[in-house]
Amino acid sequence: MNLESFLLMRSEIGLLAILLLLIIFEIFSNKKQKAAVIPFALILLAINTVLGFLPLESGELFGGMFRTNALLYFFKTTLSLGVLILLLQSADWLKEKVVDENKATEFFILIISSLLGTYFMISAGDFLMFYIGLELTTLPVAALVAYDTYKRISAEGAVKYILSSALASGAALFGISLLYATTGTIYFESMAEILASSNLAILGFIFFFSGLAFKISLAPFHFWTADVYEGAPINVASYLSVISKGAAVVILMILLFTVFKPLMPVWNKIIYIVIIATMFIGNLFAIRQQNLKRFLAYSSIAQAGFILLGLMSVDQLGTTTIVYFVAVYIFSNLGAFGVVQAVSSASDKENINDYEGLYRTNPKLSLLMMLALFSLAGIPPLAGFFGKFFLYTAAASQGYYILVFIAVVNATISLYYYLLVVRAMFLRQSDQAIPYFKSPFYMRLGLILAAIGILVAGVYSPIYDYIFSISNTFLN
Amino acid sequence: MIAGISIYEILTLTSILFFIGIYGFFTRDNLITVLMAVELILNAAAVNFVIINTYLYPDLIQGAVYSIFIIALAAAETALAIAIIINLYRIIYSVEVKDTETMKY
Amino acid sequence: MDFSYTILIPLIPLALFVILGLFSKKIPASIAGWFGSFGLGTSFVLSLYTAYHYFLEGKLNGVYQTFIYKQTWLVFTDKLHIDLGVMIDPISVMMMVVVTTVSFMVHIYSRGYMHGDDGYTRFFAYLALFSFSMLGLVLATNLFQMYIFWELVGASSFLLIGYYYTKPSAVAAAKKAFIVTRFADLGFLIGILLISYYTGTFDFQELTNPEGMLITSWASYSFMGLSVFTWGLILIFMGGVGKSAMLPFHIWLPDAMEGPTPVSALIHAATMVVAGVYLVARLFPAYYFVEGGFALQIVAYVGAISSLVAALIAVTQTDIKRVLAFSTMSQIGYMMLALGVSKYEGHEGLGYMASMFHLFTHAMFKALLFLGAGSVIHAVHSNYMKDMGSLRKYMPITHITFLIAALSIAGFPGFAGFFSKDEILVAAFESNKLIYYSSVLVAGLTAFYMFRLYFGIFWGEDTKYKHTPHESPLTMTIPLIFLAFMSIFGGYIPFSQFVTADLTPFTAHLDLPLAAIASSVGIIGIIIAFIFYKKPNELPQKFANAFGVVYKFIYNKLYFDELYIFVTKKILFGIVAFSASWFDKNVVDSSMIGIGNVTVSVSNKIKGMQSGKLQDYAMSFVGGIVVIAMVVFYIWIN
Repeated sequence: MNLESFLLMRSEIGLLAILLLLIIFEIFSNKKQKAAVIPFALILLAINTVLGFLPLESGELFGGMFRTNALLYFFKTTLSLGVLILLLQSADWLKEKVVDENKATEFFILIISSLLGTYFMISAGDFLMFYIGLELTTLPVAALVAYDTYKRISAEGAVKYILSSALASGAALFGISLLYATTGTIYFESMAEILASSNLAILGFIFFFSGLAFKISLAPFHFWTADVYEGAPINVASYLSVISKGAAVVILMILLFTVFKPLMPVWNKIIYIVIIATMFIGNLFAIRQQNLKRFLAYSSIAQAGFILLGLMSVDQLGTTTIVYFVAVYIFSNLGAFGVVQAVSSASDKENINDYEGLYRTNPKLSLLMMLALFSLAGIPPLAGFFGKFFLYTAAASQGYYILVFIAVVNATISLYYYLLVVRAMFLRQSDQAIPYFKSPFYMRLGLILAAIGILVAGVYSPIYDYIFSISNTFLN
Repeated sequence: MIAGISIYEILTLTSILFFIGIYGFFTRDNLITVLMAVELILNAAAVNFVIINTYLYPDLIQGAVYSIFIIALAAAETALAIAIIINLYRIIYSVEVKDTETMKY
Repeated sequence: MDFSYTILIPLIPLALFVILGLFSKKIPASIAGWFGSFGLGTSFVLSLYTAYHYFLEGKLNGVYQTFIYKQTWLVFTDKLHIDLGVMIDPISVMMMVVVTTVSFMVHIYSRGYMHGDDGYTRFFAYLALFSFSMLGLVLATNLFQMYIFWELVGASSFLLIGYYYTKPSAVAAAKKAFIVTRFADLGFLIGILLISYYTGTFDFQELTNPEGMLITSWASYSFMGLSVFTWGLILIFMGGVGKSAMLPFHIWLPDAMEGPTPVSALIHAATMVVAGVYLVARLFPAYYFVEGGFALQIVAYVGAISSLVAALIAVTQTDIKRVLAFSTMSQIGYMMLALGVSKYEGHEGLGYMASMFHLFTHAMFKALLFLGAGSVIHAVHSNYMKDMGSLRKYMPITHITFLIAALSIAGFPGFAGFFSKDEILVAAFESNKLIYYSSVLVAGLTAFYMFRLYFGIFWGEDTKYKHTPHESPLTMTIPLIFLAFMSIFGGYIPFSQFVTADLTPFTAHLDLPLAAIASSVGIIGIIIAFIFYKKPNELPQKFANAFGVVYKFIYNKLYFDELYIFVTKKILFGIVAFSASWFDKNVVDSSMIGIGNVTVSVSNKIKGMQSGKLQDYAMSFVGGIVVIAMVVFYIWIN
């Protein structure tokens, strides 16, 4: 092992450097200079994101605790791009509301540490690294949920989040300890060789699965989702639904496809049930929501059910469809949350009713919202449609026709509630319509990037082809 | 390894510890005691790692290292949870679980 | 020959949409109208030019060639990939002409009809989006591309139907239309998945090649006695049933009449609703050859039943647009049944040709009827027949053109509808007598309700109007005149020379005995309508005199006319038609609504699960683990 091999951790080192620079900035800047943290952090993260497009070899470090390959690297870059868009969308909110309280830098530090956590989590080569990554992803976000320190729901949401996620990681740890008992190792590769289908291993797997299912908010482990999203500041809810969920899905997929492959007959039945429960619960609860944050929370639960369809096909197709759908989902959800954020910071309104007549006053925002929601609903030719279609093909290729049928029915149900929002914006008029406002620069940039993401991911097929070409890098 | 005590007894103990933690999480009225219950769950897992390491796979120390990290992260988690609970207390002057139910349905 | 320029035909409306949609606040209304009409005019001219070249020079050894220009887009396997492109063959060229013609006419018409409306620019942006989607659907080279545009058509019609968003009923109708068709598209999507999975292709050319491997080697997998390919075709047809408003997915169509009338003319007469017919025609060889045409029989019966039921319901409606809506459904049923009874080669493929022919003529006269109705509504400000009467005095051009369209749809000899309907009846007669008789009955009913409408609007009592109605402006009457021209002379186009199932021209002859039966049934329908709805003391015009003689003849010489009226009015229309419409409203409609209500009420029932209590959440978390573990250990492992 020479020092150059540490370059495999380039993205992580980059993020770490950003964190250090931000801390130094916070220490040495005076009160007037604090506002400069926003462009400073954004530029640093943008540089890191752009660097992410440079190719990187695959390999492993620390005796296999950390490993990276083309697929993971691609996904990290996607996450970084997602966080960049998210920060662009929150920059103006920070500037107006937070800088005065002298808390802007910590917002960036917490978000970027959490992003670093997701990097370590998906790059993990053993359960220890995985656990550290998982906690590093979770804890900063828990602090961020409580970020509105004077708001009761924010504090309540944070309490719920930190306590239930501690419970979830406790259960996951207990599961890991059982798996360790059966195999004597915590390394993914050696565990994959030894693991056999014994009762103890299955029990361990179930405990472990519940911990990740909590992060992805799969039914019945999803209950925290809506409350926490509602309580948290919008951009934190967006982060939870997009970045932390996306990363958890990817690591779940990697673990199921490699380490837990010997248990496949068990886990794909579990996933089968969980998919159905998650889609129905997400959809049925989403129908009755008025608050858009809560609405998007349930919508993201339902979407998680769709993502898992790809797990039914343990091969290159399954991997590709999941990574592709998660990427698409990141942009669509960022678009939707971005609009909610823009409207909320201009008018403090978060309910579906408040959006009535929005198209007349703010046509571009409404068009973006429609784009994002239709993409989530899976209306062609938007990205979300292809994502869903590929997931259906993945599940259908293994003969799960009934499951695909249920999923298609659920996609239709979901269309109903997405239409409620579209209808409010386009086909309703209201005397109290939110008046015209021009979003500030960063917000516009963030929204435009999200829109480009939705359109390009849907229409520009080389993305799918590229994911397909790299997606067998961890399957052997 | 402890003389006279087999792994079964210790694993039974940790399982009981785990479920006491879960029971405590379900039944406590105070957020702080709920947090303590969570600690029990985490400690059950940590003890599991150490015991399995010592009794079953004594040649490598993976389990022991793991339990050290669990203790460290549990501490971080607790610190953060306490901070959040204190913040809640400053807003509503209560740390009762039943006072955290404004958001529902 | 190079037809690659046809890609422009859908792209021009897309460009229009982008420009008008993004800058809707900056572009003044007057320019938007001209701009939209001009853009669609260009597409219209281009497609006429294409049609001219294609039908004149597109043959090789007497067979029409298919030209495909496409770009591979997504690749699953070497064989299974998704392309985007344009496909030029007889039916796509024909449809392209229909869509651009009607869309162009509607654009011109809307400049007058929507004049002074609040969202004038927005309206034209939506129209352009719709035209783009529809043209993309028509020109699709593969099932997948078709599905994409199929959904886009749905989404843009959602915006158009709900255009009058101040009316809650319009918004509800828009949502209903979208959801019902989307529900039907479930079948379409699953059908595509099935077919692509087993055949390994989306491509129309491969799927429909009668000599190809696919159609001959499909039968290896079967499910419930039918091959997977047949199941796929039936599921795909389900999508067509939804879009084309056939039973039982027709419930959205009458409600969709809440949209602006030009929209109804474009979407619900000529373009979107015939997408289902087009879909079946597109895959016709597959429908015909796979498993002896089992799926095709379903098409025939769904078409025949829808056509009869819709005609019966149309008799009872009083809202003129709803009459036209049910009439559309009935005529599309005709097209479906014609496809369903058709065979493949030469003259045996008459039904296919007739269906396409009727699609063409129907687009012209039905668009004309809708636009004429729009002109009337524009003048009277009401949709109901009771608010109208004697309008012929005020609106001569609308009156004459409406009459032409009504005669055409009734199948009056010499008009366009006569020829196409005759071909359909011949095709039905040759293959299935039951369907034939039902179609003849529908022909009579069509004539009846259409002239009931005609007499009710333009003759009858002289209603007292608050404002004296006046003829619509030139921008609205020019499209009427053009379409009236097409409704007469469109029938003289020798369609069998152009559009056939096997791409080889043949010569179709008018079958005189059958034509005589059909047109006399039609004329009887007209006469009955005349007796019921035309007051005898108002017969000054020359035209009326001709009917007056017949009326007197019936009145004086045939003393059983009271009995006849009793039988028809009380029994046929009173019991059969009203029970059909009752069944439709109370059973079909409410079961669809019921599904929606159940979803919402289940959603309300389970809201208690989300109690807001941290410890309940933890319990469900642990409960989830326990349940999964119990299921795994006690059920699956043993």
